[in-house]
Amino acid sequence: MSSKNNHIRRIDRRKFLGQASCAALGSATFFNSVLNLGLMNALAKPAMQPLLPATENYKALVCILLAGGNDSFNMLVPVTPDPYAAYAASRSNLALQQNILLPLNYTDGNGHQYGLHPAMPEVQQLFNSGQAAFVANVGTLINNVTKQEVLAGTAQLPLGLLSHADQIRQWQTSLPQERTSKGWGGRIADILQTLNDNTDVSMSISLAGVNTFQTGNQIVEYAIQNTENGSVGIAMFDENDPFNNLLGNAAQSLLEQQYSDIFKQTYRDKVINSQAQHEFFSEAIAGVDPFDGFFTQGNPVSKDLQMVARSIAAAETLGHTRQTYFLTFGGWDHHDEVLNNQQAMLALVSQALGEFNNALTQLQMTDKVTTFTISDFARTLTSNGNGTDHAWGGNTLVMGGAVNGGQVYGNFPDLTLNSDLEVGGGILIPTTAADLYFAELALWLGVQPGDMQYVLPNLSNFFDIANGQPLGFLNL
Amino acid sequence: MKRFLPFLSLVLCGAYTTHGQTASDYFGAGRINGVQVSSSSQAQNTNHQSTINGAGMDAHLKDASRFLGQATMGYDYNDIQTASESGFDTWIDNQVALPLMSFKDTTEMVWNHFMQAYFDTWGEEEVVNSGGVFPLSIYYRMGWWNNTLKGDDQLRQRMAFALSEIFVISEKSQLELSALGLADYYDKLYQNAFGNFRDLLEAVTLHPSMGFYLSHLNNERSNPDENIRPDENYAREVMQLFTIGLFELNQDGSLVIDANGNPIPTYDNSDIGEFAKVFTGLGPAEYYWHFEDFSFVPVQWGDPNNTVPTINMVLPMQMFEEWHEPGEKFLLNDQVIPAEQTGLEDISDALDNLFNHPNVGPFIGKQLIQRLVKSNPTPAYIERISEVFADNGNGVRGDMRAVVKAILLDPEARDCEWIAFDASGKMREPMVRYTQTMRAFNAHNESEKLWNIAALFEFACKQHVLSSPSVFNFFLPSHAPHGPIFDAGLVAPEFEILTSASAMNYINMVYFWFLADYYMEVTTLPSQVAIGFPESNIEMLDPDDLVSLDLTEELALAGQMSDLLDRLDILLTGGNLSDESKQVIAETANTLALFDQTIAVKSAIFLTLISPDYVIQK
Repeated sequence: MSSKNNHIRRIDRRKFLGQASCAALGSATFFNSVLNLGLMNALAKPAMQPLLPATENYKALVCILLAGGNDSFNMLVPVTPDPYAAYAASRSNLALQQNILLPLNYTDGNGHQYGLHPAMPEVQQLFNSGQAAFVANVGTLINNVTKQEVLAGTAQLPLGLLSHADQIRQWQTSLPQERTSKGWGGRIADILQTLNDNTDVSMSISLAGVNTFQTGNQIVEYAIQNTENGSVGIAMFDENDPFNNLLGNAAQSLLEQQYSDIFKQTYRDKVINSQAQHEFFSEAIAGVDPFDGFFTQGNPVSKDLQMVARSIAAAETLGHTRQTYFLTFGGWDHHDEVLNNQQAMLALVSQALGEFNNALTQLQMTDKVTTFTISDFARTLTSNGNGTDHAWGGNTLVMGGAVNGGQVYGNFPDLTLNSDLEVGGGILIPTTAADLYFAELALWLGVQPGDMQYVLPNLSNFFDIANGQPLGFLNL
Repeated sequence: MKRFLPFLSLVLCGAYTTHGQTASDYFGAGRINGVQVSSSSQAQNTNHQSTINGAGMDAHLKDASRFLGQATMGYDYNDIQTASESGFDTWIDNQVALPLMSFKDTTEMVWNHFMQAYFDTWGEEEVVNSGGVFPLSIYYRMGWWNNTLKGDDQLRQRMAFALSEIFVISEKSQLELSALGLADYYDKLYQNAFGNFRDLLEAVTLHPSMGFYLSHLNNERSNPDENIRPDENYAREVMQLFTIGLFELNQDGSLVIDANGNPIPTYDNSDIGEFAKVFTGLGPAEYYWHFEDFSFVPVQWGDPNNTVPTINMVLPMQMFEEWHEPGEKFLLNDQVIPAEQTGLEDISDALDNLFNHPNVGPFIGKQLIQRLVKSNPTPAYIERISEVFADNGNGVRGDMRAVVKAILLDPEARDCEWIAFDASGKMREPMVRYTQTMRAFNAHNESEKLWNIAALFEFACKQHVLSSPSVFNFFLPSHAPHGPIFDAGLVAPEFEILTSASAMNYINMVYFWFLADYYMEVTTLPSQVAIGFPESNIEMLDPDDLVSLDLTEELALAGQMSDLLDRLDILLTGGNLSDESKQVIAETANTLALFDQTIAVKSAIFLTLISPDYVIQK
């Protein structure tokens, strides 16, 4: 729509809004006008033109939630004889054979070497070429705790430790002492959204619908799908005929009404907001490379990441210099058949990451996009027969051109049962607080140290951000 | 299921395009020729007229509609009149007394129909030897829709659906290969909906579908030498999700707080370890193969076939004592299971221990209120339900019939003042919107097979029965959407699946129903291309399967749109349709009626169904 491409007009609208962010709720009048424009201009779809000059400044974080609890001590495995023997003893019938692990070109400060799960050759290649890294034994913490404190019951522990609902939430909120629904990705957007020329579309783009990670105090996610062109709008608004115009006007009137009922208002706001953002997004993405042939269609992670790649390619047109993406790949709760299931699922993750890296290479944007995994928890080192149960600290994966790759960050733990970290059943106290992992990612995206208290309120329990980089896995 | 999606989404897009052309057709190409114009006064059936014109009667009907919106999967105008005349208390008793259907039987009938059709199309030998033909969850979906749309026992059905969102299993697992396992599990929820909670809990615990989903099927006693201990999955979730929750509750649902101001966990990880020992030794009852009888083969513990789809999924799991953890087990509240009991005695004791925990009433009661009536019940409402759960008046704990009656007849569910309260009510779940719309207008087809797959609907609106992404259901009971609900410190669970995409998709879906005349994805023929799959090419479907709605009464009001809107207000929104909304819709429909009354009426229904006044149930 021509009006949307008119930069001056856009600024006028912003003035009219008084700097209110449109991705936040409550600017109803604005959205009404967008809807009106949408209807009036349904026919007039001009050739797309960039809103902004090309920017070198773009950065995006892509968060992949491996929902259910990835058994990540079978993803990254020590191969040096002594630590491998400890691994094999603890994991019993679930230990992977040493000779099938994929070699990683890395030796840590203890002289230990590591192997990767055999289903992950693409990640092996990325790691060995310096574009991927691992962070070892990361987990949710409020404060650093010792085994003695945990066993004595004097430690301040995350709420609902070992339970899915709480742990999956805390990886997204960074606040294990609360049951809040606000996430650190959303709080980043609260801070950084103003860097974007276009604040009409949320910088927090979700392939996984409503999510905690991207729910900020002001900014919430904009959810797209991995089909067609991603965003969804009200179809009749795209039809320009008397019938659909009439019906569309009626729908618009119904949905424009303000409701004192907070449930009706919330529904109404979601509809109005979504349509408004769709109109921008659909136009921006229409002209970008669909990356046909880059991604395996039967792979759900690939399918999501294909849409992420397309959306990143559209970011410049959309007027975004900062974005976060969130996607979920679920089904990791392997109480049963962990070996077979993980073999199949890690293969999908690895393949998808390799394909995503290829697409970003095509875009020449590998160094502008950092992809990272989170998961509820790792799983018990001990076996329950043919599966594993809920545990605590685990290993995460980071990928991108800005990653100081080819290394394992944090302290890879001793996997001996009854070690100083093991609190029963093969559950490990994290040796790196998740806040450190998050802080590094937030710094890279552009959060200033002074804003870190807002984004990650617990960080100062572990690290003084004035001291620089928490872990060093990103090239800031 | 995935196999159907690409095709069906093509159908949707195609239909939009077609419709776009058709719609302009209505106005430019003489399509008004031959349209029968009638006004309400000319309508043959004037019964509804007098009803609508009687203001006092209207109020009763709106009340009844609002009640049925909470108590059923859907209802038509006659159902509203019936409930209004009988009174809600009697209506509930009548519902409870209705004979039961069987989801398993219907699903089996559907599967047998298709299996025969595959044999007829491809030859029995080829089908059996293909290796890829399974009784997939789609046949359960077909059976579920058929029963849900045809059944009169709507209160039981709504309860079963609500329970399926608490005791969650999902076809998003290997259960996709067992239509009968899904159907029979749903039957257990449905059969026990008005029974005792303790029986329901046991039926759920011993069902092989749950055993597979939460992996206590084949769970072995510990082997300390190998660092192997029992699987904790079911032990954890039966406490966290199915009975007591994470923290000690007062009877009004609020948290019990300790001296330091902290909530008190109901169990710790060592309790989980103890309960995990209890749920060991359960294996399949029989072997099963859908093309051959294997039930005579004795089940051997540890056999690789002891899982879906090669085991009987409609018989409870059986106990293999030698694989059950021996010895004492320490339960909650200092109860101890003695050594030397049978495995099933252990399980029975553990379920008793949980069932008698004071948390169950408020924990389950609140969730049932949330599923049926409102997202944010007051503590007093929860406490009244907890009291009924604890004692039905005859000293019986866990009487679900008494609980559901108390929930639906509670003043907070019924009294008009709550309608006007801006923070009361809930969002209707997408599935309930769908079934309600289809039942309101008596969805039917010539073949009398309402075998809906609903794959497109599920993709669009993020919900289908027994299809949640995990054991945590489609949404959490604690979800608070950004905006005024969060700001007020309240929750609205269903909003977790109202995304920027699904909010739009729902509107497009309703448009597709009413303005492309495609209401349900019903197929009864075998695919001519893919062996062992139903036909999914819309060109090849049996025309007798095409679903229509009965809009006779609505069309009779096309000449007087304000009367139509009054009817829709009774039928769909339970008296919740505002005057402003009615006016907007009526004006549009009046204009459209100058050209095509059918389109006008359907447009009015479409607009009503996407309006906040409908989507939010008060």
